[in-house]
Amino acid sequence: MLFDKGLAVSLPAREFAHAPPQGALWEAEAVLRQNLPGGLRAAVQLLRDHVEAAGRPLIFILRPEIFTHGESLAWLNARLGEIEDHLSLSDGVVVHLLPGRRNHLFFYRSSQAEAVAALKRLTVRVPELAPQLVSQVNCCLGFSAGKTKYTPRPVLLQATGQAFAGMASFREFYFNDCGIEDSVARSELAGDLPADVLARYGEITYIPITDVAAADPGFNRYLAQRIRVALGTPERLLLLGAPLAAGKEDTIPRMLTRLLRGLLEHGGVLPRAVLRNVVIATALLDAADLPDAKLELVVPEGFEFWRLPRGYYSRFAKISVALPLHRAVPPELLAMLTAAFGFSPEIVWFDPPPGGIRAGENDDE
Amino acid sequence: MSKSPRRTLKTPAIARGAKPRLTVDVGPLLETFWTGIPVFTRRLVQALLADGRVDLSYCFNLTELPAAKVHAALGMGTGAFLRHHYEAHAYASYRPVDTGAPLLYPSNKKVAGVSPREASVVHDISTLAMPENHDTANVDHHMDSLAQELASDELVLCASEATQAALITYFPSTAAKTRVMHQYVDWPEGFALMDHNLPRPELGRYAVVVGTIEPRKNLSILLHALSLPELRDSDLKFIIIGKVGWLVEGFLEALTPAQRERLIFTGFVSEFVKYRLIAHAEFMVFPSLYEGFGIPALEALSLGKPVLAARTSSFPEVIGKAGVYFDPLSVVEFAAALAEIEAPARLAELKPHTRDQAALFTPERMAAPALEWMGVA
Repeated sequence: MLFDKGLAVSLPAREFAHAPPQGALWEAEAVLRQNLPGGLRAAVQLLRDHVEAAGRPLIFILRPEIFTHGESLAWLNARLGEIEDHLSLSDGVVVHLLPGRRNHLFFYRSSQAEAVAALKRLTVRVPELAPQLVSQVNCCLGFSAGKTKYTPRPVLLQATGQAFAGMASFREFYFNDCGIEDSVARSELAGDLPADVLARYGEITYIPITDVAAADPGFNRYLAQRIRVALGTPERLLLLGAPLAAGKEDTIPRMLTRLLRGLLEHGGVLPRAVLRNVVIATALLDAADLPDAKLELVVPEGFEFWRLPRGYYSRFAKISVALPLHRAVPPELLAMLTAAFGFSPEIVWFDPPPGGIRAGENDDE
Repeated sequence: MSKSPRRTLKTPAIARGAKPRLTVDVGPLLETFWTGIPVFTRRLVQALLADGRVDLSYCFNLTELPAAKVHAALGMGTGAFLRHHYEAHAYASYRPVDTGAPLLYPSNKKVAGVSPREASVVHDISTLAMPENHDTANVDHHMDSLAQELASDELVLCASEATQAALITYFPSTAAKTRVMHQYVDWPEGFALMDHNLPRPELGRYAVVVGTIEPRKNLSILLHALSLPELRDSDLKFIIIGKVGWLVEGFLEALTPAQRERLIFTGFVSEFVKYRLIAHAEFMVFPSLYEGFGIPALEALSLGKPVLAARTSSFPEVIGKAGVYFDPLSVVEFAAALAEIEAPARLAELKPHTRDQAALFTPERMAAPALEWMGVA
């Protein structure tokens, strides 16, 4: 069984800069009382639900790097007792390893472009880091150590129960190729669409765009093509989830700007008009609100699928994973996604950006 | 932590009677004010000179520096004149470094693989383990080429067992070629007598804190502690010696009047003033989250002062039984440890260990791993 003797979890220190000085070791509830970004909070809750709820010890460590050896490491070891597994909750900038324990990675910011770039940079700078990871929770990242490729064993830890209570609002899609600011300003002026706007459609394709995908030229070309296809299918709704960035202080105008800028820079020509059957959702769609529609989900890179329970995905008739053509899909990733969704997703390949594959991109999730 | 396998380093064949040649990159000595790595470099060079079994030469940026100028800088205690000579006379009289000789870098390398035999010193890996405490340029400077530097090293010297353990955790392939190079304290001759002839500083009862003011030094734990009821009314002051560093904007401005009463910030002071402030303190406080070695702790021990130190990284190995330790993230533990070390009986118990502990760190010990590498140990 996973983490059968409990789990020690390293916390990302930069999210705890203003934490009270209560010590290096924390309980889950004390961690959750802090002001945390959404992804980190979800990860901590997930670990609490999977480890603590199973009656196994769960200890969070702030600044594990101070326990290098000798007396300081002995002090920590005495408090961790029989716990054999250590998981680094990583923001991408730091991955902690704890000497003498099985080390695992939980990269909770896989939806964030700058975090993905930071993790890539780190594993290039420290090529011996990844081979020391026994597993990776909710990720299937491939790393290169010299000529050797290494993919820590992917492990699925998925949220259970009710994930959210349907907080999304909806905005019209208006694309002004001469000024994103104008597009965003008009959207702000128009305000939210009526809550029943989705109920008018019998078929809905939902694409919850991530920050990683919004920064990917190839994905933006794919997305623009989906929008152009929607022009000829007015009976079907294309619902675009606006990409959330850091999570703490994001706003709807910023999310809209991020979405539209990617389309402007890489998507090609789109009509400068309000497209009635293309709608933007400002938060995650609660599919349970649409009992009568036939739903399709298109998952882009970095989508935090683990934050939603399997029941969420059961409302979708079809789930596709959109990936660039050069991206490998290891069987472990497909198995993890199949387990998370409850059925096997379809892989949708899109062309890489003109200029070909960028170095180092052919072995990642 | 299980010990990594220790293997014998390759040593070259040396002709009978000939001293092996070793070039030391003394770039850090070109700085005007010597603290931290420049002082480490000075001590290493002086330890090797005192030993006398290697034929030392010096370089900077692959340029050979005149030994006489380097030795003069050692005597002056500043690199100002050495740097001036380098900048003014390199064109006319300097030569490229002899890349055939073994090359020792007392800090990270600017370029790797110049000599077939290279060694460098890793002081700490805080830019890897806690990059949020550094500015991005510093992280890039240290991390971009670290793997390449380590790969090109025949010998990797670590400033402490803590640094060695941390390095091996992230770069296990270096385990067999790492050695610990502990530095030592060497107060200038005459400081003790000069201090003896001066009146005692009229500062009341105080503890001393030494180090650049930056987040890793964890001074905030002291601020939190001073607001606790059990410490609020103490007459103990804290003298904080060191320049203002990085990522502490607003830290000093945010101090309350009550905190300002108890905390005295000296800024950068001369070695002699630092000596006197340590020598007349009750004890040293070293709350850092992480240190590669922690030379101020050893300076305090050498002057008979126990250390209240964070239970982290290198402190237990440097301070040994001459200190009281606390969790650097717990204000409650810090306050309890402060109360413990303030108690006269406990202080008296710790003092006999201080100078004995400091005496373990000698020039001979510092030079030993380099001499072993050169095949003369």
